[in-house]
Amino acid sequence: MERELISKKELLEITGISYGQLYRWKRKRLIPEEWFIRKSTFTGQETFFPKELILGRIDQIVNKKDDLSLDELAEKLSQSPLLPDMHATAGELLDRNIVSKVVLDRYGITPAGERGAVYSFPELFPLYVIDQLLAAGEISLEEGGLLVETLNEQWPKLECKPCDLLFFRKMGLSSCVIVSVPAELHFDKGVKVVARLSLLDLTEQVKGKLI
Amino acid sequence: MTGSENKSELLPKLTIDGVCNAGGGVYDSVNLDGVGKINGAVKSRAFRANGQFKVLGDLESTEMICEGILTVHGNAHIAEGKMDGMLTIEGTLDGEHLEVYGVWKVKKNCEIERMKTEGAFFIDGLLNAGHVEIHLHGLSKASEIGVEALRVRRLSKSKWNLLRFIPKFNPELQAKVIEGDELDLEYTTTDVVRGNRVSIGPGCTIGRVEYRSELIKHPKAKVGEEMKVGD
Repeated sequence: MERELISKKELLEITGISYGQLYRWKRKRLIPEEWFIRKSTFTGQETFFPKELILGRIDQIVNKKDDLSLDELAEKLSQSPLLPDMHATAGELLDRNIVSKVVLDRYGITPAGERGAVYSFPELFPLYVIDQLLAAGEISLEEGGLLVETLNEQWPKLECKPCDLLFFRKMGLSSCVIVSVPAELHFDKGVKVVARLSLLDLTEQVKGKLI
Repeated sequence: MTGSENKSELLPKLTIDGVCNAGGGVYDSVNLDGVGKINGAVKSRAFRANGQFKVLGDLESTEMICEGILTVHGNAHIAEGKMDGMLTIEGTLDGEHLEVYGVWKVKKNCEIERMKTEGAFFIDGLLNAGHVEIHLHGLSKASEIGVEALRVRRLSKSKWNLLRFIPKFNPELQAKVIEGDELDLEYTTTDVVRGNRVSIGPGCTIGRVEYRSELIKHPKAKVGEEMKVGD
């Protein structure tokens, strides 16, 4: 899955930030080094960024920089990418459209209706993943259970390596797998890959919604 | 931060006078005079080196004063520092406020908030800094420069007559790309300059200038292409 890229020049035009700000945020570790992708173009070497990630991140920085100092913001954003130390209550998850009520009722850690229940990041993240897949109509609520189980079990072993989550079906049976990227998988003909999601991108999205 | 400050009273001091080697480690202060090697990473509150020293690992220090020749084989993190002489860093260099007088080399990227330098430098990676003031006395190179504000000037020759070890090239700054908000350049050769307010002074040879609000050009500067971008 190719990510859509955006050049530095376009980025500055769209967001209205300056070179100085961009470099400053990079120094403060608000923008990770890995997002600076060098490519040679006909005008010489240029820097590109993963479009969705960088636009989301800049939006967060611009919106939050009045409330938080850059260092505080950096601390929040730069926590280990796959396991940020963040918490949210069930109420917040619903209000911020991170997890829908259906999913929360079914797979939440407490019985439905308790808006005060506190979720840690590893607890809320699988719910967000199911919610995304459900909303896209790719899996059923039943199959969500499989995902929650896999993510909960394998999460601690991932150790912040960039991973993809694959969900596939064969002859009506569904299964999911977590692979560290970059990896190419080749299935037999009967297998239909329903969804392939980058966990790193998803965590970024959740972090963006939580901050 | 407070935790480490409390602890620092208990931390040992490292002192070298003469010719000696030492092990790395965490120290309160490091005082080096003479010639020697430190076999490993050093972390300290205050680091002072006088003479010729090598650190065979990373160097981390809140305050640093260095005179003479210092080589760091790993990465260097120096919050406040003043260096005179020759400084070579094989890894990355990052810091808050640095003043470097002399010749310095960094093999990887360099990230500094405020910096002032006189002499010559060679940065193989990106120089990413807030405010930079460069007084050139020798050929200086950086592969890329990204800053908030940059000022490049040529030092008058008389001031540096005593120091003969500086490469006898034309004092100029070479970089592939210079990007920043406020760029005030003299004696600079680059392919591309991109900035908000750009001033191109004498001795500059620049392939293309992209600017947002203002471009000031000295009649003696050579600029291939000028482009105003944005609104």
